[in-house]
Amino acid sequence: MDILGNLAFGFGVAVSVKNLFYCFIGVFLGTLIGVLPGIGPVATVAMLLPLTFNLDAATAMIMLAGIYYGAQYGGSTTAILVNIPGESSSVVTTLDGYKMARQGRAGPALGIAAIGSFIAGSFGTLIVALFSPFLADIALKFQPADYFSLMVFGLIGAVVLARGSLRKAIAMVVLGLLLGLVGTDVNSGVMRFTFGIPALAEGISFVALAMGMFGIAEVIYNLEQGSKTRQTYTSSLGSVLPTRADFRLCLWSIARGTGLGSVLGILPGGGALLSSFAAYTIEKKVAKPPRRFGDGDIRGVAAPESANNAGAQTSFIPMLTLGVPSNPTMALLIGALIIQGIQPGPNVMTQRPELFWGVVASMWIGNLFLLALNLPLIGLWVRLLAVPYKFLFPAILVFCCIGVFTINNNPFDMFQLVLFSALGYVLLKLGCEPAPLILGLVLGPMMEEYLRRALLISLGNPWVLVTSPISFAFLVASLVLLASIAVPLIRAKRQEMI
Amino acid sequence: MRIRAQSDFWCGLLFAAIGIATVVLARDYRMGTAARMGPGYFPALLGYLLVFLGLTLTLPSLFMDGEKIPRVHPRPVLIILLSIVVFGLVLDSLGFALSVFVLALLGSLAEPELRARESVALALFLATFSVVVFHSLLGLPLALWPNF
Repeated sequence: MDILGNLAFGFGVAVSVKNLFYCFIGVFLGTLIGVLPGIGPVATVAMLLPLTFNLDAATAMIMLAGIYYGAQYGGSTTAILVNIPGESSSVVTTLDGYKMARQGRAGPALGIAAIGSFIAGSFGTLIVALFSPFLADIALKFQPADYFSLMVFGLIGAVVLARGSLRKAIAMVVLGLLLGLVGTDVNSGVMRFTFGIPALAEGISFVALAMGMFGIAEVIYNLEQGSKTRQTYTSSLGSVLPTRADFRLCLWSIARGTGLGSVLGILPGGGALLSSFAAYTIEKKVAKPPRRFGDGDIRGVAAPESANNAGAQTSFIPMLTLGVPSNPTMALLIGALIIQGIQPGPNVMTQRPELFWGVVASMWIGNLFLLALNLPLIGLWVRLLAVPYKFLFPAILVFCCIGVFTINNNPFDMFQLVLFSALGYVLLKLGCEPAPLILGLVLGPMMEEYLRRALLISLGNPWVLVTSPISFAFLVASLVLLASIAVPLIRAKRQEMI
Repeated sequence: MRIRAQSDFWCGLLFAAIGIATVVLARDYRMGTAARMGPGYFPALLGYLLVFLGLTLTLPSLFMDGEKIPRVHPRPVLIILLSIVVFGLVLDSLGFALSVFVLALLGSLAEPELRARESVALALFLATFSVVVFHSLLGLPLALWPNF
């Protein structure tokens, strides 16, 4: 196949001086901000999104992808050293990672996380290159009804695997879909839900919503918790390089984590979170000798860290080929594509090959940067961690506001930011996670369009969603997912995991 | 009647209220038919769905025990939101540099542990840093200084 040719073409795009530079900057800034406690990958990507607006589409995506896995890795550093998971996907890393840090083996824990991530990331990139063309080919044959049901499936999948109340998560998706409809309707030219405000004609500021809900609302929520006593284990990092014995012990854990993460990352709602949990659970059952899990076993760091990086890579597959985000970060990247004037979907690969293959190739380069950057810079990250939250939050506040403002240079966007911060805060207080909402926001206009076309072709008969075999399969799969939650066993497992 | 799951109860009401508002607002837009969906069709559909989902949260909350809503601390909420509003209001007249200073200074009041001197130093640093990064390095078209 011409996969090799495509990859070579991709590397040609990715190793241009400009793209290498932005990939490096992305990975560096992503790690830098991801390390700060209380800022997850979503907030990091949202905060840095405006930096990419002046770049061309391929470079922007390369930088954003770099920010994403940088932030992901930064979160693991925080998990290991301070026992605060930057994001839910590094929760399991705290179990053994923090114990290792307390035993004076923070260095090897961070080292194996970086090395495992690199191996997993390289493999994940290969999977993306192999499977994406295949998936895009299939997707090109989809009818509007099939697309609509695919999006239903994607949203349901993301919701079922998310944490917290299922009903609340579904309501958040619907609210997101509705917010996505604000602005000018492309078919009739009618301004919907704009309340006569001209700035809303182009729809809700995607960045204002993301920053409000993931950035500001989170800041307020953290401030409410008061100053928690954080203890950083910095005194004895130990050597960063794991010993030969560590390596031998971890090799299979990394392999298992990588395989599992690569598969789970493709699923809607999969990606990093599910991968790391599943990898840890399996590792505890399979690894021999099983002795010390939960008590500072290095394999308890290697497996979930490999899995979440592999999952992070392969979650690009549905985003790049179908235009369907499997997690909120991918939703942000889709938003970035739309801002760049590119309609996400299977056509991206054929119409913008330099974008698609450039991003794929840059993922591998980015992972290499991550490894090269993190082994020597761990000392710097550790010092960053010692900065108390009271000095950090004004900076987060300032960068969120500037980020939103500089998109349009319009002070009105600040009022959108306030509104969504307040909404995000209220919803957080009511136990609603913001992630499903942002997935809905991105998919709202697309779902309406596909439903409109599907019903136009079928002369208004909604059965078209069931009579098309592909659409039918997606809807059945969605129902199975929903039903699976009702099954007590899985329900218990889901709660136990979270 | 006693509400047994505060969180679900209010959450459901909020979603139902947004749903009702959507359905009412969508009446202003042409509904069309299923075969030719007007601009009001899909929003109305989602509005009804949201009302239904809200009810599935609110109604059971009257009969089944559930979570309470965590306590609200008004200080950080109000100060952070207010600081963003003020930033939006003064941007045009004070210019970028001073506005960022004001934003950081006001926002830092949300944390009582910060001393006045620390807040001022932090705000000064953030304003300088932002001007250097966004104006000098990134070259964004920003009006830096007050315009009276």
